[in-house]
Amino acid sequence: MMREHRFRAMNTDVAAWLWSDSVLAQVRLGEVETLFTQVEAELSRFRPASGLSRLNAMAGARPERISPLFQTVLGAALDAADESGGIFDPTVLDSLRRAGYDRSFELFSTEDGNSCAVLEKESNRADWRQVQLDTSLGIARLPAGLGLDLGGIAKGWAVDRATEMLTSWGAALVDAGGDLRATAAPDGEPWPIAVQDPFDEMNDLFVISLIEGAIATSSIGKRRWERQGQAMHHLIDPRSGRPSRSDLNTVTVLAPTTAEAEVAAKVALILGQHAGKRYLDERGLAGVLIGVHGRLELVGNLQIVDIVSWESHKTGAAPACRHSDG
Amino acid sequence: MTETQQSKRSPRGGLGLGLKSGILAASFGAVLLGWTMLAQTETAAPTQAAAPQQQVAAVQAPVLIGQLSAAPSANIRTMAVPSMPRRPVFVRPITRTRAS
Repeated sequence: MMREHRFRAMNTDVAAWLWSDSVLAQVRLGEVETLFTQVEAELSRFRPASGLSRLNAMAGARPERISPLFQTVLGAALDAADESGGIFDPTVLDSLRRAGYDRSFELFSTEDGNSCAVLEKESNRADWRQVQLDTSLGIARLPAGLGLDLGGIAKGWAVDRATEMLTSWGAALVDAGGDLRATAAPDGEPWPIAVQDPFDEMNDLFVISLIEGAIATSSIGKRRWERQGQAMHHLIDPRSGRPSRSDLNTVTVLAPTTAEAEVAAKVALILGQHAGKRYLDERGLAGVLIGVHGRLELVGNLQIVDIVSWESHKTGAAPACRHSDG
Repeated sequence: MTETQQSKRSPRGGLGLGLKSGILAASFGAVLLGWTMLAQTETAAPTQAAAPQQQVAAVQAPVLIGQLSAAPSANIRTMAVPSMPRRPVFVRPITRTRAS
């Protein structure tokens, strides 16, 4: 039978499902919440006592001892930055702050005019390449003026770790705000994941049948605010130090792990429709690119089912014929 | 008295011997008949057993086209599964992607 556990962590709704008849299934699901609590306590930039906040506060000073969890996620983030040529950059915290994203988004109003800081890119600012991480000593050091934001990749890592914890107990799915990972199909049925229409949150575009793997979405449609009369969002293009001016609104990527999907979705979105598609193609990743004007493009070997067809199939009615490919 | 008793016993003993011989002969005959019939049955048995197997295989063949290429045991197993209606795990998408 399907067990479920829902909670809130890392400023998002988290849900975990486990297909198991074990009397301990609910206990195992409870451990997922404990894991998310630990990750948030260690890696949130909005918690002054977190390991991440302590390291950011020590930028330019001596190396700081960091936890094994922090070392793992920071190492993954630096690898992703290297692999993406710096388009994914965990050191854009200063740019985020200058754009106005200086507190948890739950505390934002739609128009947030915080101070009169000028949105100018520091042309020679340090970046991820100056971050020092020594896992043998368990220490890290940031150059002066540099801050880390591990929000997306930390959430993806937590989803991956939680799913791996549940795997030995049965088919599992963990979803943190739409970034999710599945292992195995419960009773042989793939997990049906609806893909939300970014222009109409109440509507779904189609269903992806996921047996194993991860899905993550990046979008400029969420976490938006205005500053000095300009529309802002949280996806910083490291090349400009400003919110991305990509021609893509939303990118959803399928990858083996959530952390990989999270990074690839963010990079593809910043790169834009053409270069973003090429980036996914070169890595053999499947995805859905949705342009700022609603153009939808499927990338890679993505098996999708039209939402109406899927529901009709499940209820035994005749499948509707509707194109999902715009 | 004693002789009389002995003379009375003598005819009874002769009659018993004949009866015993008869029963023994009948039993022996029955055993022989039984062995003969059993031998005939065993000779006929393989022919009778083979026939139904061939019939099952003939019935199964159209059902299994394109599904199995394996041994007869696999065929028998498929016959034993009359596709019971199964309750689906999901009747709607379990979750959805969201912009983040």
